[in-house]
Amino acid sequence: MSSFSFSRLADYFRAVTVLDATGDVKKQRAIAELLGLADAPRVESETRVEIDDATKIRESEVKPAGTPRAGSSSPGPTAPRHRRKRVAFTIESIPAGFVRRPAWLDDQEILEPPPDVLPRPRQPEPLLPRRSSRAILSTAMATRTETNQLDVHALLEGELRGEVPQSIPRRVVPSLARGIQVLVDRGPSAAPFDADQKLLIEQIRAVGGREMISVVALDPSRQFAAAAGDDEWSDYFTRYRPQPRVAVVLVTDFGIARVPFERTATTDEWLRFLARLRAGGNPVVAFVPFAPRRWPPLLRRYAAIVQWDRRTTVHSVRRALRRNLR
Amino acid sequence: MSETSTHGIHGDRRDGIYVWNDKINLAVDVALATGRPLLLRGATGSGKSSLAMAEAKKRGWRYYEQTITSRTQARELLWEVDQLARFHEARRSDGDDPLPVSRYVRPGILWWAINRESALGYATAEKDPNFNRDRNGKRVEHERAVVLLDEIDKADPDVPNNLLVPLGSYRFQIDESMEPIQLERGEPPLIIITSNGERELPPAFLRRCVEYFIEDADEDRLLTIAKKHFPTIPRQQLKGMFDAIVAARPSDWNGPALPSPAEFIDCINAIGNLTTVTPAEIARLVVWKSSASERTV
Repeated sequence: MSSFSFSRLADYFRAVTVLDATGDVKKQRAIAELLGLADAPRVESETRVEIDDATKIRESEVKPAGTPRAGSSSPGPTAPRHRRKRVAFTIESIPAGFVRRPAWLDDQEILEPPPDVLPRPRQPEPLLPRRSSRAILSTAMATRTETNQLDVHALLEGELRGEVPQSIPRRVVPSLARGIQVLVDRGPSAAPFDADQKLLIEQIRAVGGREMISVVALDPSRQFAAAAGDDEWSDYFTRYRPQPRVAVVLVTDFGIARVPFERTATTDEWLRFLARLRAGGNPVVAFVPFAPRRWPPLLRRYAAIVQWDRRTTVHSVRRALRRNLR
Repeated sequence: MSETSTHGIHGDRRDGIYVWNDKINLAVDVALATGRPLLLRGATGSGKSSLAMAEAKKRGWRYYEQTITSRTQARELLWEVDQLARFHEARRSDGDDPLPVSRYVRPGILWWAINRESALGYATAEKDPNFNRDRNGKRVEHERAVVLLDEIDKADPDVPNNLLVPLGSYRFQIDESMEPIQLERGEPPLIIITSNGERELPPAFLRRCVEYFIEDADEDRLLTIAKKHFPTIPRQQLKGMFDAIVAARPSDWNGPALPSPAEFIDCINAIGNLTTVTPAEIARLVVWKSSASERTV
């Protein structure tokens, strides 16, 4: 029962009592579902529940339903244990979106592995800490946006200086209202982060809203060619440049992980690319899966760089944004 | 399955026509019993928003609504200060008479719903944005209210978090006057919040809500809803329209197999008004649109 918050449990008992559901297991289950309680205790008809207020419960005879707790990692005593063979390498491990995917691969028939050796798809852990990823991303992606509210302080400052206001100053708040373009590095050096990129994009969509997020693939190794969806690769600035003041979230390694025999964009090329973006009025925040000591230092002039790591905090994101003076 | 309905103008979510079922009734009852907001999810046109006015009509309560946008701030649902009016009046005045900020405080819909009496201290009764009117067009007056916060998922992520206290305890404080606003006579409003799943809501916000997912309507429910909206059309005729709409579904359609209640009602309206256009053509314009084939919930 420790997984329940007391206020929710109190509300559950209150609803069961008020809606006359003591003894009606079906109705109790429906009430528990509505309140987000996966396995609420069953309230027998003879159970006496006294509710003082939302946070205090006194109950004389509440029996837990006996089902395993939701989210419990240990299976029940009778749950069968499945041992699955691990497959070291499958042909699908080469991501379809990568430009270095060999052409002959598309002509090959991919055979289904026999069911008994099918590896359980392993969901990788997101690189950002789960508990704070929402706050980290909303902080990183927000741009300063005018609200409908008057900026009294700005107005007062002008008044004190004896200036006649030329326009009505509005309060400015961090907001995601302008939308976000996510630029995903699909160059060879970023290939090892394919699964992490997918997870991050999902997290960004969940926080920013699907309709507010556009995702564009970027290949820095090919003069920063870009493509969205099934489009052909083309020049980024010709086709995909976002509207001014739309934030750009760059998911990249800046070519830090060198790949033998593969070309990677140089720091100068990155500088030119980022400078052009900034000149167009687009604030850039880059999520980089390497430690700050490995980042090309000059790039911080044009982008707020955030370490894409489980130790990343909202505070470190704010510090990166301040340094970049968005 | 118990069903009730009221009648009004067609095609408006404020018409009060609604086909309740046991599950929806239970969700509303639990929200009222626990004093929590009711968060409704479901496909577009499934009847999330129209439930609020229908509940207000059924109960004879006041009704307030606000459609949330990406620029909506939590504070404007509680109160706003008309600083521009204050500024203009300050410039016009000779400076002898100080202009108290409280004179420019404007109550938001949650304030009206939580404590109308105190809101009337800041605005006249004519400014009360209560939409529920009786048959004579007069505003319904009741101590309790229904509030619709429509499409909360459009708001910035901070907005739901900033509403945690007002929605959890029905209490907030006006920053400018330091006046606390709290529930009148201990009966909370019924707050209905809708989400189209555009973005995830904060876990702390979800924990404070009663959550209900309105399932897609099946044929029988669609016909029942249509009959409530068009009582003069025989059910058999509605069934014929339904069949014609479904038959027009493209073979490569990958969206929901049936129209939503709102789409079905729109189609019936169009079929009745546009005699030269076939039901199939109307269905392709209203229901089976390529942009809607990947509707999210």
